Amino acid sequence: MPLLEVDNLHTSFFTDTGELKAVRGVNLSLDKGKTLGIVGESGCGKSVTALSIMRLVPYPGKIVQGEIIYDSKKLLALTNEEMRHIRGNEISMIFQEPMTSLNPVITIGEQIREAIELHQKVKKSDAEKKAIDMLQMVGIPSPEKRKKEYPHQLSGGMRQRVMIAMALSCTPNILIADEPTTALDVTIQAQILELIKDLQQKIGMAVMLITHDLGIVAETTDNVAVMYAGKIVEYTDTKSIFKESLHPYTIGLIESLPSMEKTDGKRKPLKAIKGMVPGLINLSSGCTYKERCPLGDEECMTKEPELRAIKKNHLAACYKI
Amino acid sequence: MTELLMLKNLKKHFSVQSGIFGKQSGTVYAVDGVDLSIKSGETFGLVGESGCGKSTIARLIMRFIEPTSGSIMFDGTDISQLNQKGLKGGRRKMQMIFQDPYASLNPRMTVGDIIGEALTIHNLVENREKDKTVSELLDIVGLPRDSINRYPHEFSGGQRQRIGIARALAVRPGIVIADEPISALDVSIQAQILNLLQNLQKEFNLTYLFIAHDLRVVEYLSDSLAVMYLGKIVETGNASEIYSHPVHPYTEALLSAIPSLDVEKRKKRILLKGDIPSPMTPPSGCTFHTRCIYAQERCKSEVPLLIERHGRLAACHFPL
Repeated sequence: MPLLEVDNLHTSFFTDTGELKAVRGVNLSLDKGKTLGIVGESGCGKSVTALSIMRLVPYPGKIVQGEIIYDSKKLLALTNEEMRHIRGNEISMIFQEPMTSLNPVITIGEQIREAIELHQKVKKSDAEKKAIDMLQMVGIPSPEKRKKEYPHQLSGGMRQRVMIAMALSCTPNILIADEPTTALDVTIQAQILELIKDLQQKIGMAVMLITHDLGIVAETTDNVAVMYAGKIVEYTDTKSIFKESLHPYTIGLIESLPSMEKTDGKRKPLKAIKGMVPGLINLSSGCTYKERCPLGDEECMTKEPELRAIKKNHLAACYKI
Repeated sequence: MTELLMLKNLKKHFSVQSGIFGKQSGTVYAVDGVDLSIKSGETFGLVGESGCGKSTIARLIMRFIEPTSGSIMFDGTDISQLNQKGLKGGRRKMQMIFQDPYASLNPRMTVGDIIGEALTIHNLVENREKDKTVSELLDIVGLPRDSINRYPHEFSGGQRQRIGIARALAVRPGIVIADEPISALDVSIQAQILNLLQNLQKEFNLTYLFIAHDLRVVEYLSDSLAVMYLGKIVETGNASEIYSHPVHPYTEALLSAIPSLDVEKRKKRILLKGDIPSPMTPPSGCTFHTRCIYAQERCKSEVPLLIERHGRLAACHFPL
């Protein structure tokens, strides 16, 4: 049985201009110790899916329908108090911009200690020791000294390390990482991804990695879900998604990347996906990708394709495969 | 090909003030002695991590800021010596495309005014001809002609970047400086803009200075390349040669850090220790020695010069 299961999740934002359906029926499962990548462009619903799991969807958003089952508990049926116990303790989340997710007027040691004290019944001195251990574990040099510093005194990479230290301080079973390296430089990005991988093996947690970078997906995940306009359009293991991608959107994304390998020293024009992502208020009927798809025809215009198994363990939502 | 733009020992130091009397408490060595030359018609890629000075170079070339010392030769004239009047003509030949398509367009101006403003300022077309020229520019960058009376907020990020490109092209520049032009865009839109930039280069014989942190994109576009670290160029030369055989350890690490789609083919990753040092207190000797896996005693004291190594320039005592 998977550790986390998301079943037919619908999350909408009720704006002045109408209902914006950010997530429209997402099914996911995450196994113990594995890494699931969620890729897609801005507005595809990947972050809202993560926030829905944490039950942190901001106003005017609302989970409209669906079920989220973690460790045979229905998360959506829990009281706020019970959910607070899960958050941080069993499911943790780190965000893209570490500066805005840390409190600027509290030292980093204090912030980590607070998280530990809140979730675990330990003495203050023990919590403080644990906080230093955590800083050490995420590779912050001289943690005894650093714990007294404020977030603005640290570099972006260091701040993300502090976030990770805090998120992992209660040894959660699941870490949700929402674009954890997007704000960082490539050499620092490599450090942080390596760190997450390392700690994952140490603690044995499952990771849900949200990103727009297919390279990161290829290097760090076991399974991938590709999202487009609020739905998963392809869902399989990481190897298959690159070797035998099925959905035209996935294929388009991979082909639109400039590759490092040049063919006979010549630059070929990139195969760009035409057009742009449709607006999520008042979606037209049919497949959401139809206008941009090279395979789109009559059939795609009327009814939206459902995610179906094309091969074993390889799901895609398209009529044309 | 002839050199269109040459930077010679270009420096920009920012002084840092602190306290109520604004006493100078330090200096940021943002650009610290940069030499580079860009040939007419080529795409020159400038890469490096945040804070390495690549955007400062762009702003210096455009004279948005004044250099501390050094010269900027463009088409035979030293731009750094031009007065306001001379600069107006100089800027016509140099245009810039910015990273954030949301911040770089005036929200209160129509697209027609945004693109047409430069035409008026430089007296390139007569007023009644202006709309026609703007419409042509919209065609060129692939926007509908009726965009002319619309406002920036009505467009998506990719379309706004097209408006920014049309504005840059309006005055028929010789060189276009693109500072991270696609990093704010979605993956599927990035390819559209890259293709557009390449087509325009062919059509108008443009020279690009392409500044980016995404090495995949830079390698795809660039003919020549310079890698920067802490205000200095550490390696420069033919782009594909640098990509296939980096000579400087920093270039090697930077290239190995790119996540690759094909995990089996990827070269072994070299994880750099620690963070980029502050440009206020750059390390002694070779500024990269604190993170370099090959560093030796000599690197701590002696500054390596940018000299010829295996058919390109590199600043390293122990090149790979």
